[in-house]
Amino acid sequence: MDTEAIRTGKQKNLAGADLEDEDLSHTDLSRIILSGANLTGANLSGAKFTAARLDGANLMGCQVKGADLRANLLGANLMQADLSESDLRGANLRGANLMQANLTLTSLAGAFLSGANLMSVNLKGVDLRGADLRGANLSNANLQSANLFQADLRGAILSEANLEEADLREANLAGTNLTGANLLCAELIGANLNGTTLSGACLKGTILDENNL
Amino acid sequence: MLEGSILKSLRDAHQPENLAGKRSLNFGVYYKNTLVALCHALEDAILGQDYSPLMITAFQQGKWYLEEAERYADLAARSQQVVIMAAPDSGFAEHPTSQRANVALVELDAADTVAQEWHLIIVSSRYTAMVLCQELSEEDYGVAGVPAADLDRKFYGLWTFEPSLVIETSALAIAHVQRYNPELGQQVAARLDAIAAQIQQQDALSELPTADHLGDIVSRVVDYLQHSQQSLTHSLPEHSSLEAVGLDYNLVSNELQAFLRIAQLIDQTDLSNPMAAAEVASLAESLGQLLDLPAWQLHRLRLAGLLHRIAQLQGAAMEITPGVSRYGDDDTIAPSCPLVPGTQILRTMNRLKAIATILNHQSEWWNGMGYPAGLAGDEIPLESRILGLVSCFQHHLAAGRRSNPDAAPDVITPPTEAPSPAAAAALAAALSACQAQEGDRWDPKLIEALALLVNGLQQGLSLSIAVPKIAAGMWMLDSHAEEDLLAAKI
Repeated sequence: MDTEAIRTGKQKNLAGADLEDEDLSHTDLSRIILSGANLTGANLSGAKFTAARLDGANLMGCQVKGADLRANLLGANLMQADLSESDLRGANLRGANLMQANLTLTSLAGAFLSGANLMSVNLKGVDLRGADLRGANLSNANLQSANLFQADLRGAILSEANLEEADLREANLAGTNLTGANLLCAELIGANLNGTTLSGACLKGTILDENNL
Repeated sequence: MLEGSILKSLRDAHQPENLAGKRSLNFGVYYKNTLVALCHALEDAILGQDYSPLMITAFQQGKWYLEEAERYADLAARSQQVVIMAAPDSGFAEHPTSQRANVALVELDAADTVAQEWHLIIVSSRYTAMVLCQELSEEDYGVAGVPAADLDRKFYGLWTFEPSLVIETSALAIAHVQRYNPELGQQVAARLDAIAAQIQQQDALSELPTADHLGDIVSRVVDYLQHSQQSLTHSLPEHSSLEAVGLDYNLVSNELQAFLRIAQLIDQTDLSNPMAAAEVASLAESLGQLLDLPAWQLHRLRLAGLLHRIAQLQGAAMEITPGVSRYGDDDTIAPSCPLVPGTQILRTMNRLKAIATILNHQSEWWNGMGYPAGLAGDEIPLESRILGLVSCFQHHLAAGRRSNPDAAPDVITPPTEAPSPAAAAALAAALSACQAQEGDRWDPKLIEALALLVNGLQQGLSLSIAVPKIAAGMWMLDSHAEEDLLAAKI
């Protein structure tokens, strides 16, 4: 694959292209079309994907550290990808697979993660303000001191998740499954707890709106 | 939370439905080492000063008190009264410290839940602080069970410098003492009343927290926590265990909390502008978003906004004299630039280096006539320029609200509906006050962005102004926190 044409911006439509193990680090790839492309093992660290299309792309095991990924990643495969320090604000990650991805120090504020697979993912201290996590699978995930202010978690699965010291103020937790979750010192003022399952959850020091239970 | 415990009584008094006029409590999780470092730092603050405080403490067991008894002799010498609650242990009452005239022991019943709490309450007219915790129960620890190593023991509760909260808790603790020893209870209650009256009198006079050595106190807290971190790294093998990582995170989180709590205190003391930190943080972040700054920079900007008033501490609140540089021109080229004393406190924590630089230069002027370094134009770090402008804007906005209460409640909060005419007028007035200094004091590009933001606010754009959850501030600290902002430019 001739990556020179991509780097110089001549080649903008690469839907379905095979870019396995290619090096596109620190490249401006804004508005590029990579729908359904194969990017497994590619080096995309520090690249700029603003408004790019990566829907259905395979980014398994990719190096995407510090990239601007405010892009369409609908249904993308990001398993084991290193997304640390990347900018995913408002990104479309609906139905994406993020299992075993490295998400440390990412920003996911306002991201669309409904139906995404985030099982056992480490989201410790991550910015998830206002994120759409409806129906997402976050079972066993580490969300310690994560910022979930005004996040939409309706119908999400958070069983056995670690939400110690998390900020869940004004979050929507209607129908959320928090069985066995650790909510030690989490704050839930103004959260919607309609039909939330809290059996076996640790609620010590949790600040709850008792009215909403 | 344990029935009958002081922590639970305090929480019940702060349930959302009882909150009228009070703030919700900022609970956090603490490892044992964190608590030891915190308590020692808060206690040692009284050693070098003549605060002459009232101290009320609860040790889980008499033996923990005995470990601290020597230190407590020194603390008692500096206090008007020390009350120690603990389940009795052998040698507990006989220790010389226990014999001191101003030290009173309260032997807790085995069934008393307070015996499972860890309290330190220090009240004086010029320094208040407390730590109020309970240990996790066996079931809370979950499948792993109660940890074998002391290092892994976890507590939950809160620590704070807030005078009103400390006094409220002291009253609860004294009520508990009263059950065991009515005479002691009454005597201590009288002391508390006298101190509370003094604090109230001072508050009426001051716009900054009354504790005159707040900067030193916070530096000591951070120093002790860091020391605890260092001994952790030394005592453990190279590949540190999962627990050690947890403790390390907990220590760093509490170092950051020390600063956030001071910022909160500054806001609470300034009744004329009590939401400054939260509002400036949200405005700065929104302005940064308009300028399409990367996410990490927005986080840094938000943290700088939350901490921006710390620059006013320690006599740092210099009058801003338009057009007069406070330092000679020679200083501006000097490699180490002049520093605002308040921001120096932030440098005790390495990961706040960049924040300290941002705050240090928030008072620079676009035309180079500001202080402390007389930087001009793009020499001034972008975040300093944003923060300076936004806090000036917020200052005008708050002043507008004070003079016209109609402009107050919904200036920035209404969801998607246009603000009231009075609120819209307050926004416009604050903007034009800033526009009047465009090109002199403020960067024209930023004035343009601010005008856009104000336009959005006037049309119903809403910013959520959330007071930070203090125990969960770590998301704002990132890998760029130690960056040297001025060196990066050269």
